[in-house]
Amino acid sequence: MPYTSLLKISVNHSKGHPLRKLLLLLGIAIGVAVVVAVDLANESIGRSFQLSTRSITGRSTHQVIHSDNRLDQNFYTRLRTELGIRRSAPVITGYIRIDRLEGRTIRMLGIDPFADAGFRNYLGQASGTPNLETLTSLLTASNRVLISKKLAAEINIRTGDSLGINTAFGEQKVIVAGLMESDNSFTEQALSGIMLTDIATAQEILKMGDHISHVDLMLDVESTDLMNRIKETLPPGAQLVSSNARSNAVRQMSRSFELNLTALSLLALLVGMFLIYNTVTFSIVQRRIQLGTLRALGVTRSEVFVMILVETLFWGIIGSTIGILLGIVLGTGTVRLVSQTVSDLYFTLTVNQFHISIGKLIKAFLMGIGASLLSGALPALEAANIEPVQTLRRSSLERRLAVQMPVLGIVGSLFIIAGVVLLSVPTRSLRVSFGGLLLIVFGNALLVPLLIRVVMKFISAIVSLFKGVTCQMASRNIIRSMSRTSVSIASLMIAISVIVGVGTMIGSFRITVVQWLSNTIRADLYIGSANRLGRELDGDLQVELKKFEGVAKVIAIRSRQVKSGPYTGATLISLDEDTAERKWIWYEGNKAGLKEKFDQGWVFISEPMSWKYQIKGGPGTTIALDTDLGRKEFRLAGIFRDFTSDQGAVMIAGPHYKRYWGDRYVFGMSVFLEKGVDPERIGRDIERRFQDRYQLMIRSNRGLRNAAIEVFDRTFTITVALQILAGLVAFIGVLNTVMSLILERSREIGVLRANGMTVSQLGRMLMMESGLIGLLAGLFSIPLGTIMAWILVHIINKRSFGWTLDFVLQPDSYLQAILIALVSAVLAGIYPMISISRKQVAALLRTE
Amino acid sequence: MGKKTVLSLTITGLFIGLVSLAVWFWRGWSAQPMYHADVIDALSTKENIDDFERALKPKAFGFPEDWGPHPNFQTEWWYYTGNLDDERGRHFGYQLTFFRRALKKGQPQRTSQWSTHQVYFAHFAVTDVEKRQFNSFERFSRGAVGLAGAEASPYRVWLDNWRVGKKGEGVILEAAEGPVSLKLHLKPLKPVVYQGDRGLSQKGSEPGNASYYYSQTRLHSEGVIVIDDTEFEVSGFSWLDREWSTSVLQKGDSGWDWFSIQLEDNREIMVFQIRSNDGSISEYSAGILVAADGSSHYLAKDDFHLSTLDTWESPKSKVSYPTEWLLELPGHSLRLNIKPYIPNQEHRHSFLYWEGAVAVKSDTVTGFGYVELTGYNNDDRSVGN
Repeated sequence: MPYTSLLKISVNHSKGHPLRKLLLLLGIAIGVAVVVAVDLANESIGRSFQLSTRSITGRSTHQVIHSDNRLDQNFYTRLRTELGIRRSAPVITGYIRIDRLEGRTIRMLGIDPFADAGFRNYLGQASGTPNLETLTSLLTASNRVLISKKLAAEINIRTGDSLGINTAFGEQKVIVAGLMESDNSFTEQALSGIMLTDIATAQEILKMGDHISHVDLMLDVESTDLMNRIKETLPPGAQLVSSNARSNAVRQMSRSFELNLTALSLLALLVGMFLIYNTVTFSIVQRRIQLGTLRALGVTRSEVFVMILVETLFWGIIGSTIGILLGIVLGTGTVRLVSQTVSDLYFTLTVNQFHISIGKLIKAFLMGIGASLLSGALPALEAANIEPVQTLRRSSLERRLAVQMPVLGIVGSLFIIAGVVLLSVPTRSLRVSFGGLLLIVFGNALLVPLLIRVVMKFISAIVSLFKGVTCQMASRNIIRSMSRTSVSIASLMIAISVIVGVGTMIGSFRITVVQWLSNTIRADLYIGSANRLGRELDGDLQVELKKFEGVAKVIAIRSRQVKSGPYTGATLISLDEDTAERKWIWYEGNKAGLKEKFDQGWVFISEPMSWKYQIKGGPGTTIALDTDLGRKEFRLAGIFRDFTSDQGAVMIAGPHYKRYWGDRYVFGMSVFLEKGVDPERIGRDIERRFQDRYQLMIRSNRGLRNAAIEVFDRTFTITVALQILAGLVAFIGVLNTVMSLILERSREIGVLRANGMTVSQLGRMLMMESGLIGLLAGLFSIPLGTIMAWILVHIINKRSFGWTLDFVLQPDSYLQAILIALVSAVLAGIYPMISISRKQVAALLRTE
Repeated sequence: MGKKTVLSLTITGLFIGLVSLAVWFWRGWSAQPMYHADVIDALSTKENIDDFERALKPKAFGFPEDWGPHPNFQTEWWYYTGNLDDERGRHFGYQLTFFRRALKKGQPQRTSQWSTHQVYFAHFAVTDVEKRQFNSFERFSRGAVGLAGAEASPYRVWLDNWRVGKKGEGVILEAAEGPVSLKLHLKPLKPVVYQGDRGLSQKGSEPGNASYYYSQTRLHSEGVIVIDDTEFEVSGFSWLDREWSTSVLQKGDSGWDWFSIQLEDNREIMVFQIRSNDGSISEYSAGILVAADGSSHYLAKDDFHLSTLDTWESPKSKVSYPTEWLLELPGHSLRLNIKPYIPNQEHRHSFLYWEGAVAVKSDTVTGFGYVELTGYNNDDRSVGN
């Protein structure tokens, strides 16, 4: 038969079954959309990090930074006047909050326009060049700033307007002297996260004294001589670093977060592919009779095969295209969730736009088409290979499945074994870990038919205890049409198991963190700066607080980022005294002696730190840290469990910290009260007493714990999005299955009706059937989800963050899983049930 | 694929390639730093000059104060030029000039030391006559945190690592950029001479359109010039011009030609002529002749006559400059032929101007000097509004 005729048949078939085609499209589209949405979120984050970094580092090759962000400005003068390094530019930078932006923080960037031209080009862009009046006023008047045209439009500000900003030192007004603009969208976005000023203005607003933040340099890589001369000139605490190294450190911070998102994207890919497989398989299986007829009419095997594939390709292309558009819409919401999380966890992400590369879109598009073709190929091959007579009987398919079932079982088990082997490989590669996870999930899916048979025997036994014929029919129908139900149940199972797995992981995480918080947060009150933009507390406050009535003890907490040396990016924390009840991974000597060692200058490190830098612990271990007095080895006393940062933390006693880093600023204070004193009252008193001098934020023990939990919960909002997606996938999957099952069986239903089955009996039977599908998927998802959670907790989390979580089963998520499965199954059954009930018996029987 | 298809595909490909190339080129071009030009624009604004002090009447100069800056005036410069030879007679010209420009009158009342109203910029040039090479550099800086500035006592002027500093009776000049560096020890051989009327150099009819202007016309110079790792021990004579003002040129003036000449018979001559847009020479053009004994003689506009003998068009800027002159001083029986050692001594930075070493010849005496030519670009920044 010529292909044109076959094409006509295909087209007519689609016209005849618009609903089925719609479901097919929806299945493919949602599958693709899930992948696109997660990729979009992932890529946007990566790119935003990159942008935020580049807008600061500019074109510099090297930087001179200071461990405390306060580099003596005379150093810069010497660099230019004595060493004659002309390609150097001073920078003062810090965060400020703009009142009109609902308190969103942006970066204030203070530069010297005379030195900066070669480094950053926002001023050099033809259209962005400020005119002379602007430049003169920037240089000669105080508080004059430039903001991007885009930002100005957003907050409705014009040149000359005054703008309220908030810094670590209180509120202030600045005057917008001009607007920056770029014809390059990349720069444009970076610009809208920046308030540009003359370095003098930035120094005044950010209260930098006689200091600058850092110096940007453009150096010849080969000029080691010059570099050595710079190094000789460095003041205490300053470091010459290459810009790449610095932005890599920033980048490193987001890496683990991105990896988690990648994991989600992989799971999304899996769920998406199953959904597509499910949908496409059904659309072909439904047409076995038509295909059998064609074969009987003399259409060759290859012609049938090609026809089906071409058709699948066609729908695959349309579905994937819709999926990409849908994914972009879904992704926008996801990006918002994600960037909030990043801002909470790492630093203020100035760019909220979303990006996706054409490559990623093509990947998702090909995934959609590929999965469609692959899903179509198997049933198409099968349909093409079966004798025409057989195709007309569906029972042949079921018989084959029954024969194949042990084979499927063996293959599935092999997959699971391979997965376990892969997971037990001692590697830090998350790809390997995720590969193992995927193998296990896939292997489980292959075991589903076997599981259905076992479980359904059990269920049938229970059902037979009841008298209802309809119930028994329904349960047998599931087994009878396993070729369809098993695929559907498997995909639903995977979708739901993601909910269980991620739910259990987060639940375990949360319980561990709550426990850890109550062990760590021991003081009655915590005092910090009301403004997280900077530090403004100092030792004087500590002295005065100690004298406060009702106060028993005040412990100052000092903290800084390690900016150079082997542990760049880790947090250095100084405590006058360690009051926390820590869980030790390892400690030197006996537990009782730890306090003494700590006071003597030994350090503690966090578990993520020990993981990240492979510090195993053991007697005699030392940690090399760059201090203001040069690099210094510190003896390691213990490794403690910690969830503050995945970048690692080093804890050191206050006097030693002050000696090596001479820091007069205090990050926060823990206040212990005398017995019987009301923390709330004391807190209010303290706030009132010091309100003229400090902007204090005082939190009670409980308040701080709650705040920490709140941040934790917000961190995982992205997973809520994932759960919604999984639920959506589940719903579409079941809808597809139930629809197909019912539509295909219209003749059988007609016979039943003709033999006296009432509409309500029919309805009950169909409801039972779809309910059973949901129930089975829900049940199967529980063990799979639990395994997934175990892998996430003990392997993935450990490997990406280095922290150990207590694995705690979450009965809630089990219940949730079964409920989602049941509800979506039952909801999915309603429409097909109603539509078939309305049909005349005669119409149902007319198929032949 | 038919031949036509191949052809059309090739053409399409070429077209797309060309367009992208053009777009890339255009973008690259537009990203060139336009920035410096704007700083200069900022420096050229004529607004708010009323706030500044003006050169209205002759003043009593005092040293060391008048070596240092005069921030109440808008513009000021320390202008060192000179002609040098190495032992083998290889000739070099050099220029090291520091400009100060106030963006606003007075001192800023702010806490940051970075805040300032003073902007410094400097030009450094070396002419290598034998290689016919002209190297010229420009720098900008704010006059704050020790990056650039000027001080009277001890006398010093600097911008980054370009600097002039007191040493003994004289000064040390130091500058380096790229492959070129210069270090000279300058010692005055004659006392300071005051230009114009006791140091008040009137440049226009309006009172205040004038500058305070003094010179050191003969500074013995000795030191080292390095070009591309080759060192030249050099010696010769330098000239210093010190000038500060708030407004100099008036509406209708298009630029000036300035000549400093050091003759072998130990005499020096300075003349400048201000050109008007209509091609005429301003009444306020003037000069000075310093005799071998250091005594100076004022030259009014009619005391000298300059005629252009040749012109040279810059291949880079396409601007045409006069390049050979005859300077006649009838009252002193001098007819001097003035010719650049090399024609291309054009500074193409924020300002476009010509300034270079010149050889001076006549029937009776020879010498050398420096010539500055401004305002020859037509779309130019001629004074006026």
